[in-house]
Amino acid sequence: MRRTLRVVVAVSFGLLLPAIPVLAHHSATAEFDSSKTFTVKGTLTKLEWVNPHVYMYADVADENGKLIPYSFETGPPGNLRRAGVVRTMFNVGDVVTIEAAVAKDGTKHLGLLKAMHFADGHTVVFGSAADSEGKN
Amino acid sequence: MKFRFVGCARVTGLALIVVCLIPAFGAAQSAPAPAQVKKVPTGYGLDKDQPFAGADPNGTGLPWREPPPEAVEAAKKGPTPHLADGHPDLTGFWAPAGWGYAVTSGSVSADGKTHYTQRRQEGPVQPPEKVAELKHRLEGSNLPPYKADVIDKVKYFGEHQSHEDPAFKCAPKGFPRVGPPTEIVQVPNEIVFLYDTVNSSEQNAFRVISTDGRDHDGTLNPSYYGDSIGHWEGNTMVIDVTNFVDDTWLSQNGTIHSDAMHVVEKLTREGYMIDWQISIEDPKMFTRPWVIERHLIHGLKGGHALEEAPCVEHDYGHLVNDDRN
Repeated sequence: MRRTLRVVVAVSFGLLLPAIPVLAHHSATAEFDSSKTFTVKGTLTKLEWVNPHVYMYADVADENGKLIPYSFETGPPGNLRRAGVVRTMFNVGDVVTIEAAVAKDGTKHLGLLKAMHFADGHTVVFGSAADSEGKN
Repeated sequence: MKFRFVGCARVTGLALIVVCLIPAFGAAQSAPAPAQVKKVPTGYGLDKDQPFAGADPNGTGLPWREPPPEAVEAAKKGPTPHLADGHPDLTGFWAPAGWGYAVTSGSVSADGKTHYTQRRQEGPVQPPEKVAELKHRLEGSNLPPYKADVIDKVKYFGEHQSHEDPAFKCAPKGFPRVGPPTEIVQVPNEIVFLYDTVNSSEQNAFRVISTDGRDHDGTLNPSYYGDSIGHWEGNTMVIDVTNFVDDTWLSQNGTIHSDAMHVVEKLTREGYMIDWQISIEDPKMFTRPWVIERHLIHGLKGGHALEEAPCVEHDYGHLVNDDRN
């Protein structure tokens, strides 16, 4: 199935409040600009449940149908687990829509996870409910 | 000592070995049901059960939490178990001081379709309150007592932690930065400290404290966690720790130390509470010992093995400033 690249750089004017995880390592503000987000639909290719940050990888088709590997960062495994979000909630091969904040250094195809929407309608928000109120 | 592992022959990994040890030596605690029939909770369950917020009450700049005084007093009222040798039994899961500062709480929407992982947001730049907190962390009343000629170096490292902290690149934090033990297994002649590392750059972290009367072995290689020799002074376990490498920090604040560091660690159990104290001496860098105290409270009656947490650094090359947590 051909997936269409859907990249939306949404510059926040206070309408899209970012839900950025607390990072135990560097500050999120050292690497990502949460006022600029993008959304892509892709297929999870790898789950890396490691400290200091979990990484999830997805292949996203560009406008020509070429698959582009994306990397997404979120909090450490312990944080996620204590919040009830565990590795088994994600599967290689899942087709997901991902919202993420852009990297400040301009690295393409790298993002800080804000939300992952699954095909069956459920969502994991990498932030608090209060942060996402009115958004999801 | 082979009897320790009866029934666990196929079990590998330190954390799982501890699971095997607990039923044999944890009898002084509450007696847990056999592991194979017990429903093990997801996570440690302490976030909601013990939401202690008392980070750094005495201005050390350290992330180790302190329970509220009333919780400490209540815990003291419990029984103090002893082993057959007459010494207090420190065995158990102890919280929350070793948990660091990034304890989170998640939630699920009313329709069950949305999971939320974390509790707060960060904007594109660090908010003023975060900047103030970082500044406050360096202005506490009980910071490491550095000699004058070391202070500028510490300040530089602290301000550039994202780029200078060895732990940011998955190097071991070492002792004492790893904090108080998360789980203790006490057997005759040695005590094992296990550390919760799933929320940090640390990987499997443990210390084996010899309590059989031996002295330090000067031929051992210097290490991140040092050489630990313990003995009892009344009801207090006193651990002498030496032989450290000099490339770890004492906290996230650029707090370096030398290879001359020497730590005296004391644990005194009273009921369901352990008074944990460390005195850090470093004649090359400190003007006097740096003494830190926390109270640990016995927890997690359900039992849960500490998890291994591999560490792989991906972000270092993408950092554009020195913002840190």
